[in-house]
This record gives sequence, structure tokens and C-alpha cells, in this order.
Amino acid sequence: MSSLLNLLRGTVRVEATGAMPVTLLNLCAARGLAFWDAKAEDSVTVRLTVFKSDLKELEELARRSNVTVQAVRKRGAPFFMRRFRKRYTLIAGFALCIAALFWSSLYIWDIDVSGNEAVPASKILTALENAGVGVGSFWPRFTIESIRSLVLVEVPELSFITVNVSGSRAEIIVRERVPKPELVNESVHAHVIAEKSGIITGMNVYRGSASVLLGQTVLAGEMLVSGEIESPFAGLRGVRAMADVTARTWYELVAVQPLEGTSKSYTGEEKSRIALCIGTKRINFYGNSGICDGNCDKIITEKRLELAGLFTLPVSIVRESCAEYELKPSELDSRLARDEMETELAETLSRILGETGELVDMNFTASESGGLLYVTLRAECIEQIGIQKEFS
Amino acid sequence: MGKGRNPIAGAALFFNLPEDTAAGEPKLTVTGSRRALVENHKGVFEFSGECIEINGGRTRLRVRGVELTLLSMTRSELLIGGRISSVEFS
Repeated sequence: MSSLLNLLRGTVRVEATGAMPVTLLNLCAARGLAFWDAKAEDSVTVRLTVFKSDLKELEELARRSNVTVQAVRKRGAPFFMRRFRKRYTLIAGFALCIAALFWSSLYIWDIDVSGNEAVPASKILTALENAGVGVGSFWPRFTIESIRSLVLVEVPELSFITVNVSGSRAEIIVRERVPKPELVNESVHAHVIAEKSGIITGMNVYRGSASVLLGQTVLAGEMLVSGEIESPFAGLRGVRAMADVTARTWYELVAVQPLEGTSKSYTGEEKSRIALCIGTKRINFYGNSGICDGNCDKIITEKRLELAGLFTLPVSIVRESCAEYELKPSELDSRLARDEMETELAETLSRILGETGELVDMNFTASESGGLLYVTLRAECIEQIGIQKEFS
Repeated sequence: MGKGRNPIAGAALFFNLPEDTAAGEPKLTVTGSRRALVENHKGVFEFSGECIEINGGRTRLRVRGVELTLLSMTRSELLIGGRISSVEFS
């Protein structure tokens, strides 16, 4: 820390020569003039370091003690800055650069949305754009209240939005609205029926009268719990039946894929194009259009000029690489295709079962016929099969 | 009380008070053999790479060694660096 302070204040290494250079050291100490690293070169010469600001006083003390002082080394920011004293263009350029940086920091050049899960960021960004918050907008003009009122009206799925601006980066933090639970109309009578065919493994009837027994096989659409209850006082009365009915179910899913297809074969020809983006303006350093001739994979990389996430400049270099390819007929690797299809089938089954379903057993079979690859998934599961069906 | 003895220092000794604060006697703290701090000094008599003679009021301190340096010096404190071999009092 002291070294940094010395560097900022500027230090001078001086050589004091005289009959009694030690007198100068005593005078300095008595006057409170800070010096350090004093070394005796010989009996009449001492070298010591003082702050640049104390040099005048040291010279005065040296004159009084009949010692001559001579600066032998100068260090620190004041001496460094002194070199540029007469370089007016450089100073003006530096000042202009600082002013440009300051001016640039008043505009938004990067927007980051966080806190959204169901609502896509693009939708929020569009709503923000309509509210006046976009790339290149002047952020001191923003008011959080106006942004909030405009965006929350346009995106009703959001319950909260705030905008934090640091440098030229706008951080948009949102909170999504918790969806309103579906209200059940208790006055409408309903049976619980089977959504899928299976063997009943468990029943918890909360309301209504059970129509099936444990271990019984039921078909899809069959009534499980009746919403009509026999009452000794009022005869037959209707209720909204409620029950958790779990059953052992079986699935058979089939995926088909042709064994012959087309694959990309890169020709080795690759073109790169560079463009410079300043704010919302784009300067292309290539003559023709950005559309590639023929089939090609285009990879776009954008390098933004920024300072470790703190400050973003409105300048970015965009590089477009086009790798040309040809589509050639090729025979599919059946082993690889089978693995992919099995993974897809397993994912499909997982989606069907949802969070409540449980997989008991699963196996795959594959066969090739007529240039097609068939992969079949057979699975045994335990899941909730009861759904309500209203009746009048 | 011996000849040349500071009477205030004698009184401080009698009342079991620290002499450096009560009588302004020099206080020497040596750290290893690389550093020596002298407090309550009255100036430097002699300064060379091999010897630094310090005015301690009624006492003279002579620090001997190799490549001796005055790391810093204020009105009351003096920090010596280098390879210290001996300290003499007179």
C-alpha cells in the first residue's frame, strides 16, 4: 500500500554531499520531513529518498547545513505525467476518449434477462423494446414505474419486473405469476372413470362409491368410482366422486426410421466474413450478400468489447464462417440409429407417465423390414388412471 | 545515584516506572540481526555502512554491522536495517 502511495505522490532519490551529511538527516528528522532508505556511500556522501513534494524543503535544509543535494532518480506518477505536459493532441485524445466512454455509459448496449422460466426472454425483450428499453436506449430517461406498468400489462404472466443498470448493461429481473389453480365446481356431479386399461393395484376413495375391486382388470373408460350414492333417507343422490386409483398398465410404443438417408459431406471449402457492429449499425467488410451459395453451415460468433462484465462498449466484431457441404445418400448405422430410437422412446414414455407414474419394467426389440428399422418398446408401469367425468 | 546519571531516570527506577517514557531514555529494540529500532533518540552523530552512532541524551549508542541503512528516521524514532553485529553503549 505504501509503495502505491509513493508511486502516486512521486519520489526522488537524492545524493547529499558535504562535510557532515548527517547534519542534514538530523535536520530533516527535526523538521518532520519524511525520508527513508538512507545509505552512506562514503564519509561525505549519503543517498536518501524523499517525496517529490518535500524536495524544495530538503534543498533549503541542505543549504543551511552546507550540504549539496542532487537528484539521482525520479519515480512516480507526477514525473510520468510530466512527460505528456506538452503533448496537447494526446491529452485532447485522452480527454475525448474519457468523454466518449462516459457518453457511451449512458446508453444500454447489453440486456440480460433473468428469473424467467416459462415466459421466453424474447417476449420480455419485445415488451421492453415497446416500453423504450432496448439496445441503444438512453437509460437516465427510464423510470422503473413506467417500465413496470407497461411491461406487466403486455406480459400478464409476469408479476414483477425491475431494471438494474450498471455501466451499459441492463439487468432485467423478473418474477413469474403463479398460475391460478383450477377451481372445481362441487355442484357438478361426476364419476371417476379409467383413463387407461390396467389391473387395479390401489384405491383411495374420498367421495363416491367404488365400482371395482383391487386386482380387477379394467378397460379405458370403465367406471371406477360412481358419483351416485344410495342414501337410506334421500334415495339415490349425485356427488362429485373423488379417488386416487392406481393400476398396473402396459405400453407398447413403436418407432420407425428408414435405413437409408442423406448425410452431410463437407467439401472443405470455408468462407469467413467479418462485420463491425457499432450500436445498431452494422458495417460489413464484404461485398456480396450474407447468403451462402449452395448448402452450408453458418457459424456466427460475436465478440463484444467489454470490461469483465462491468462495462460494455457498443462495439462488437461479428465473424461469420460458412462451411460448404454436399448431401450424399448414405446407409444408416443401424446400431447407432437403434440407440437413438430407444432413447427417444424412453423419453416419450417418461413424458406419458409424468411425475406420478412409475416404471416397473421395460425392454426393447428391433427388427428390419423393407428398408425400415422398427424399434419397439414394451413397458410395465404403475400409474394413476382415474379421471373425473361429469354427468347430469 | 552514580556520576552522570539522569536524576529523573533514577527516580523512575526507584518508583519502578518505565524509564523510556518517564525520563526520555533511549529504548532499543533489535529484531533478529536485521533490524533495530531506537526510540527517544536525539539525533545521529555518525553514519556509515559499518557504524551508526546515535545520540541518546546521556547515552551514546553505537550500532555496528555491514550494509547498515537508515530505513526511516523521525524526530523520536530511528529504524536501522542491515546485518547488525553489535550494539555498544557509552
